[in-house]
Amino acid sequence: MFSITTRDLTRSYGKLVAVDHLNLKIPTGSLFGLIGPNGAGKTTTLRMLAGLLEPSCGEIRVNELSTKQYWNEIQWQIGFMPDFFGVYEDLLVWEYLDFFARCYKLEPNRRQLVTQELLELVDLTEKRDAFVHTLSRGMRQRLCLAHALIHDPQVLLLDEPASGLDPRARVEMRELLRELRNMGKTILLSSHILTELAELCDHVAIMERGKLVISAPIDEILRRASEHRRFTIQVLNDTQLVEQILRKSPAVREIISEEGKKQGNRIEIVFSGTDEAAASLLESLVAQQVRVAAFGELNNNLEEAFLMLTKGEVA
Amino acid sequence: MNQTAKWELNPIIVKELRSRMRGVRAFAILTGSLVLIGGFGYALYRMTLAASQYSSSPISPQVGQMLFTGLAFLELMIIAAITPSITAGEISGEKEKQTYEMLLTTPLSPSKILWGKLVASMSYVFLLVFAAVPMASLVFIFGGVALRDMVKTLIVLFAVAVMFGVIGLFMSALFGRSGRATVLAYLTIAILLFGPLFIAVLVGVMKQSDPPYWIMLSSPISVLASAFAPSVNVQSISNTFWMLGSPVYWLLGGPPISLTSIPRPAYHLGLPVYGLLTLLLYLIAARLVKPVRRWRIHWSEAALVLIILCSYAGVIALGYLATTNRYENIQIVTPQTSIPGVLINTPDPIMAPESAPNSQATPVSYPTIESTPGIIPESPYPAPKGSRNPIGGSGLD
Repeated sequence: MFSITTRDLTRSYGKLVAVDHLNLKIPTGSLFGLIGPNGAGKTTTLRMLAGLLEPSCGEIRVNELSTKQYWNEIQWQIGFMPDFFGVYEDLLVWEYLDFFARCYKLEPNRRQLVTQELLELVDLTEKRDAFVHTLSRGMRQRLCLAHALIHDPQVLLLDEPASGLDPRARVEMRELLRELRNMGKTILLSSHILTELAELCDHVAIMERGKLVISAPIDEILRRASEHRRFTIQVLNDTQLVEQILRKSPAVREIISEEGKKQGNRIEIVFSGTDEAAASLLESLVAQQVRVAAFGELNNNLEEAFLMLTKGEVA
Repeated sequence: MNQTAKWELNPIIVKELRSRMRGVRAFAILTGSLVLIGGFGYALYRMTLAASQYSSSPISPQVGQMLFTGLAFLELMIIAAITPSITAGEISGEKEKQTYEMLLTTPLSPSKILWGKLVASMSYVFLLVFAAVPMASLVFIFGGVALRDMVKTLIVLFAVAVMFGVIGLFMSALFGRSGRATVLAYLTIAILLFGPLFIAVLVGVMKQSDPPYWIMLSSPISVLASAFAPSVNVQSISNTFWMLGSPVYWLLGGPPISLTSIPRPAYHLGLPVYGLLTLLLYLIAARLVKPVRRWRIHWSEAALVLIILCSYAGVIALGYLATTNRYENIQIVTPQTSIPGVLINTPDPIMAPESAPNSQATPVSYPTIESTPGIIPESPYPAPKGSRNPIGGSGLD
């Protein structure tokens, strides 16, 4: 079962093709991450799914219903949280949710109940009677998420829900999303940081320049991304010797030594292997009398590594 | 979607009123405008007294007419000043605050959003207008203004306010930037208010004759003046209102004099035009607020628009037909026997239509005033020269 399927979804702004023949299948009940650098077309995709943009061509199906014909029904199954959003600052928190509950035509007593439940869910109960403009960024983000949930939608579209949040708020947001998934909702969220989604999502799709690079379960993505780790090694010895040792290791794919600089004998390697393999590589270096000053992974930016890995695939 | 309530207030109205009526601002503006109106009224009162210092002492109805005219024009100016500032930010403000998309993802249709915005903002404008009604009722202490003219004045103000509001909303939906929308809304309203005067003067100068009076129809000033024209004698107030230019609007907007028919007052023509403009701008704005498929109009929508426009035209035509006996088709019975020394009063261009007999019976002998008992009770003949039209004139000399 797929909650959302897109077929050849395309959107162009003049000459610029923001989303190019995108074929996505989002399984029901999954937490699906849409990842890509800025300008990859994530927001455009989400906006099309939310009905705010019309696709140039292609088709979107939500719960097997085409959005073109059944938008009035589908609308009730989708909750959308945009990446940049404003709040009605001169409303109270409960009035804000009450307003959206009215938009979704909830009955008065149900409105009250839902507002209360949602405030509990997003942990804003004590802010119920505060003005929206007094809320912090993280609270606003949660309030916005609550507004997207007001009609109990099956599908949640969240555009960069964690952007601009401090680490603590990020963790809270993550917990919240897990809770929502446990409630059986299908969640599609976008981000430009893969690591952020790595522990959270079941499925990940990576986009670049409007095209889908890969769409797979997270395990597979992580496995493939781990084929392209970057390590930096700083030694006190002659780098020549170190390079010889490194070349012998099967996990080392490539050695990028900065010949020109020779700054304290730093070597960068492209490493495909587990942490186990990295440990044994370090062991072998030490065993062969190399004096290692530093040994560490260069960047944690998994999706960048992944995009480099797949550089050839997207022209 | 199972929990759909049967009937609910438009959520936008609830939200707008909640946020607008909160805090000091709304009440400060209301108080300010009432103080302004009160002060203006008092100043007018003193001016009338002062102006008559060197002539005859002012008579109560004169004061009443002066007050009423001043307040009506002031209300118009307050409406023109406040309405665009409220409505021009309604749609564009949502876009600027990035709340519009969240609104559009709800099942609330864009036309409902627009309607809610209109009702919410107009209700505030009407609050300002109707809050001044008690103050305008002071006029009754002095007398001189008929209640029906007061009601007509309010209706015209109402229609003009809605038109201004829709102009603001339209600009807001069209430009998506509050600043630009506000400027253009004010500009449009200023052109509507004062543009016709310039055109009329220009045409008059170029033709070296009277400009066609319909030029002035688009100016709410002329239309407003025509609504209470039967009660107010323009000569008596022209000294005070020269700065507003209102007598000019009034005179230029006056319909041509005819001996065979009674011309319609400007508001008979102005209000349908305003209504049509309001309707068209609203319908276009309802398309403009849509996020997707803006100009792909479904046949049912087109049919609906057609029905709305046709029924509007129908209502106007019916209104025209229903009143045609009092204007175009009025049968003027000229007395067979002319009494020496008695001249027939021709309809006064300024106070024309409402001075028509109010009685249903046609033919009537115009301009004999039958419907005003007590003045010329049973005379079947035209009123002798010198007697003022009791409805149209100031009621005194």
